[in-house]
Amino acid sequence: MSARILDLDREIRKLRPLAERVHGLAEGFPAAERNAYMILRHVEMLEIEVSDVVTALERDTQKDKET
Amino acid sequence: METLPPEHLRAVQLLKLKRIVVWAYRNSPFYRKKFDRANLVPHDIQELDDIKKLPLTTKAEWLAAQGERDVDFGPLLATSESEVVRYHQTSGTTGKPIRLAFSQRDWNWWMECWAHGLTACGLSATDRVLVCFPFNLFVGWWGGLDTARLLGSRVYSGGGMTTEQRLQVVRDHEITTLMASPSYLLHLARVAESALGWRTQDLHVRKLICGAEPGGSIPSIRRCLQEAWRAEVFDHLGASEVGPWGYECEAHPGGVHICEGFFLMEFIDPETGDPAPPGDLAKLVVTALEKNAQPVIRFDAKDLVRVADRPCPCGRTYRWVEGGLLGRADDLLKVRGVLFSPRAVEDVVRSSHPSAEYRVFVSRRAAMDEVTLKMEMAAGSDSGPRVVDDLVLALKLKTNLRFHVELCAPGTFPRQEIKTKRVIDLRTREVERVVSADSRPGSGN
Repeated sequence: MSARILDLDREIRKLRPLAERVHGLAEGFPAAERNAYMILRHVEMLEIEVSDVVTALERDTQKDKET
Repeated sequence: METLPPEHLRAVQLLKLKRIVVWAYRNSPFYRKKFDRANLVPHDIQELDDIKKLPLTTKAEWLAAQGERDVDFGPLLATSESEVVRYHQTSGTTGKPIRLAFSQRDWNWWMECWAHGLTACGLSATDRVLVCFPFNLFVGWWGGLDTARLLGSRVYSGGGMTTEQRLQVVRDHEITTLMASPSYLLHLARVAESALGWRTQDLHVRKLICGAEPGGSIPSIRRCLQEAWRAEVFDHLGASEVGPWGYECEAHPGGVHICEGFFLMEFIDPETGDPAPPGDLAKLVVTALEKNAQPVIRFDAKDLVRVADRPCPCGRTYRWVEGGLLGRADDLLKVRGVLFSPRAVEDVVRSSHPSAEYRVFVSRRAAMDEVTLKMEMAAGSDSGPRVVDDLVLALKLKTNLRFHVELCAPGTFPRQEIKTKRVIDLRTREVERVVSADSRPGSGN
């Protein structure tokens, strides 16, 4: 796996706690709440598109090493 | 993900499969019951093939689960009601529609699937996209419109317009891309010429994205579309219940890629129920790997496909199905012991009469099945015996059946913007549903 994909995955994983914190703080401020909600949903898509792939490949590599 | 080596793609699919199985088991009463009846728990799914331990899910089961009330999602719902941000329905062409719940997460996922197809078409911020669709509760092209916008294209909703009004938009706004069913795209071209005196080849349209019915991968229809619009044709496949799973790439291999990073597909022999190898006619069974408000696990889509046994020149490792959608397993009709698909008739008719509307009636007389093609002839065209004879011969060669062919006046059959059902089996009570669908207001002009 390229270093860039691993870097990308690492940075993406930092987004969720931040997005969730912002979403929590935005409660009660409609404009902030709307946009914080959308950011959270898009972070999910990044995880699906990138982090899931990296996780699966890492597990695959681990399985190959064990066998 | 589109170019992952197959073994790595399967690893991604397995990760997602395990996750959606756990989710559905915990949160969807429908799937919990299904697992319990099969004596399964999520832990029993350790490999991709383990999913076969679970029985198929059918549309009939979903309908029964949703019950008689017209507003419930029933035990299919796996999130709270408040998380459901979009309500859609299936088209209802084959009966009562299924109610479909989408969370925002689901809709983002739906658009991501669409994005695979639209980027493969080369859609960009320079494109202007007109979506010819009534924008009703049928999920149809909603995803296409939203995704094109997300990709930076300018989008035009073609809802609530007549065909002439849509054509006016195409010309005045220099539309580059049309999204519609293939039969409607042919109809648009015909109306442009006959009613407005325009040559559609001279407009700015360069991409046609077809969907909602088979046709985009049928060679005769593609040729007609390419000639009528002087545009590239891209077929796009999906089902309302499961998602937009298939898209044609820029290499135009003669079929459609499966979005395998988002869907786990099984290919089943329609007669035996055994796995079908590449190259054989197969029925699709679909698991949507990320859909969470209304999970889809081993859904019997009844779509017929043939997986290609060679890679696509585009370089994507996603498998592709040759010829796109070859028909529906429940559309296959047995007439005098011979199985035939409506698509075979479509291919024959479109080869010689590209934009003619037609219907096929299967009936029984004195214990013998009869099949009749009734086809509209354009005003002023040859409607003599030779046309009939040519069609009878072509249909015989294609289907091995002798058709009665009758020609009728233009405008005999209504145009539909979505999903025209052209084969009517009068041997069942299906005729009442189809006749009422044909006479429904809001059909395309």
